[in-house]
Amino acid sequence: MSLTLTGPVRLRGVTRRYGTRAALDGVDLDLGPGVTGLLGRNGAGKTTLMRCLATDLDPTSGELRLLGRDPGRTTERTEIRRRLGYLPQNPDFYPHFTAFALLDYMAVLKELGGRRARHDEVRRVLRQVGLYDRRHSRVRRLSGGMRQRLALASALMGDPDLLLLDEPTVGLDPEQRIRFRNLVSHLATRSTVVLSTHQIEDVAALCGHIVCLDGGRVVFDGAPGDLVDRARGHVWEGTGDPGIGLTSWRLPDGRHRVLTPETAGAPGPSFTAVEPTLEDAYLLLIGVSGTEGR
Amino acid sequence: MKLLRRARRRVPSYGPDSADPVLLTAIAAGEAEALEILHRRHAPWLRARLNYRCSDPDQVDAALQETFLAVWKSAASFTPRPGDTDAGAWLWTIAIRQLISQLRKRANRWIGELETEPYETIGDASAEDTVLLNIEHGPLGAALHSLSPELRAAIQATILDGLTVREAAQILQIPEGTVKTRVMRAKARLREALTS
Amino acid sequence: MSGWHLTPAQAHDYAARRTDEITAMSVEAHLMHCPPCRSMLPADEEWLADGWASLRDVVDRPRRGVVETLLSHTGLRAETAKLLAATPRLYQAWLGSTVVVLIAALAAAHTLPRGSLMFVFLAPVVPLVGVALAYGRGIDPAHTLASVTPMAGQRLLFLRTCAVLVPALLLCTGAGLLLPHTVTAWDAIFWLLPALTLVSGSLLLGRMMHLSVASGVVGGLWVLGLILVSLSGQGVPLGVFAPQAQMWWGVLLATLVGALVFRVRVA
Repeated sequence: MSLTLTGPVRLRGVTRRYGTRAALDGVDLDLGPGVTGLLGRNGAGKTTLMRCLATDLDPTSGELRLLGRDPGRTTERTEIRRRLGYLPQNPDFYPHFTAFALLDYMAVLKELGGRRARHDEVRRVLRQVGLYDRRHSRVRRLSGGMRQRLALASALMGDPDLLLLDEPTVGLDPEQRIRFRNLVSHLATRSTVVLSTHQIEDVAALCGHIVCLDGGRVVFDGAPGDLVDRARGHVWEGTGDPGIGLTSWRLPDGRHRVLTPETAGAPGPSFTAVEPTLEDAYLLLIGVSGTEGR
Repeated sequence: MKLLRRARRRVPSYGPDSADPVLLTAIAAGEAEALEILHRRHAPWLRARLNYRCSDPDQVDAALQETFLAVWKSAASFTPRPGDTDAGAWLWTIAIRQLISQLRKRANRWIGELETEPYETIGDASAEDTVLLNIEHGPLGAALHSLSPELRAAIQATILDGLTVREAAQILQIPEGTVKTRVMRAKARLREALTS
Repeated sequence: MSGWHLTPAQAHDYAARRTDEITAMSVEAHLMHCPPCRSMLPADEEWLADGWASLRDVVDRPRRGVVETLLSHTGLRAETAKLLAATPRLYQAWLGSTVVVLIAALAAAHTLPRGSLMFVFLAPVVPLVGVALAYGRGIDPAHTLASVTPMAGQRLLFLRTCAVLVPALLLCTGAGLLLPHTVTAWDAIFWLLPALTLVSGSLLLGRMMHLSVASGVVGGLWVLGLILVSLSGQGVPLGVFAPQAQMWWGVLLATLVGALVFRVRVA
């Protein structure tokens, strides 16, 4: 293990308990600039980890350093928060505020400049998420996708060095999703972005680094290519009965795609090995058991 | 309450090529983008023209700022003449009055705000007069040349800029009576030159 | 007009203030009625953008609510007014119900025998309930967004507490002055020290648990205390507001505030 202290995000043995249950269990991580995709099934500890990174939750034990600072100390925590953008899961707002007023309020909380500079920043992020034309609409009149984008705009204010996005593409239509990807990949040239999601396509499109959690532990930490490499020889396509206990699903042409976590051999005579996708690799990693129709 | 009413007013569809009256209706409905289009369209020439009235660019900028803020507040009071798609004359009357008020503020800070009169487009009455200034009439240049600078300034303020005698007196810093006599003398000279 | 228009050179000269006075007059007379010639004048893009930016700053900003406007008229910083005015709906409901409850208490005081007791035991709890409904996860819908901003934590909590205390103390004092037996100003604010003590107690406890829970605990202790005092004493525990008791309330309040300040400094 290296002794370098640099790196925007550093965790050593971070544990967070709720009563006796450990939502995070001895997590060691180093996250750098670029987009890190945080994967895992529900309850794997993703949101707990995100909240720890967002200074919203203190680890029960372990060492956490964000942007080189200790979030456990009040002054350092405030310094981290000045450079932090956080899109929480299921963000909520004051429904009677307009989009502009809400972001203006958030900008005051983020201590962004005088009125003029603050309003300019609000306009900038509203344009970035494509809500500028709706800036004087009340939040309750905005659709779910628009609210999601409004929360994203709030996270983007002040050009954060550390951007934490928990399920950011929920409620976005395909076009907005592409816009979102462009936006994030652009931001990731300067900042550290952590993207917690179930959308493997977003991870495949954006992330140069993948962290997968299961049961509060890190089960994979590396490049997407490495994850795919692990799956090579475990993904098959062919006709016939894929057998019981294997993850498989029916393809549109009537054949089956089968994942074989244990044995390297083909599940049947008609099956041939195919190139795994990131999704195959992820499913193999977390050992999803499922049959026809998933 | 006023704000609420503003928000409820119907917004016409508009774009960068919309006519001034359409933009002004949109502005009256609270559309900042329509004001931006109007600003882009009219600010440059208003600035150029105000620059001939005041040599301090800061005061000109301040007057223009106030002009468009006045437009924002009183866009609803603009009533175009039928078939008129241009608000240039209306904007000018606002701009020149804002400049006068700027200059007064600078000169006598202790004097309160100008008593605000409603902005009215320079009326048809002066249309006949403005003919006097048409550049395309050959003899006009010579006629204007023959005027003394004082008479020219009086003509400029009243006929060209559309100021009232009182406002002209303020900007020229001469008594109102003097403005009146100078304008009369200047008009007489011009007519003489043009008809001879 | 008569088919005559400015040449580009004329337009350029005019805009650059190089035109002589007489030509300028003619140009202006023409420009007044000729939009195409106007648009020939060169536009300084940077100047236009600057001008529009300062205009937009005035014409395009979020409308301020009544409360925010009133607050900023009292001399508060615009930012502080904005933070104070942005309160959860529950807080607003608290403010409304406080008014209703105080009116009911006043009505009781004026019509029922010993009806003023309702006010006596209500007033100290009013600010406490407000604090419970002003801040925290589950109470404030925007809490998850707000809680990780630099202003979050003690500063926002302090502001929200002010947003509770000021109206609560004003309303209760007003109601106190309208009580039938109020003679001096002191009669109207006998509840003040207990009320402040309860609030500081819940704020201190709130550093260990959710503020709403803390307020609930403190409120429970208060009610329990009243019951115990009335069981041991002569029925109605008015003694808790007696002058000697006020001194003890003062000591307790000072201790709690001291502890709060100490905790905030240390953390």
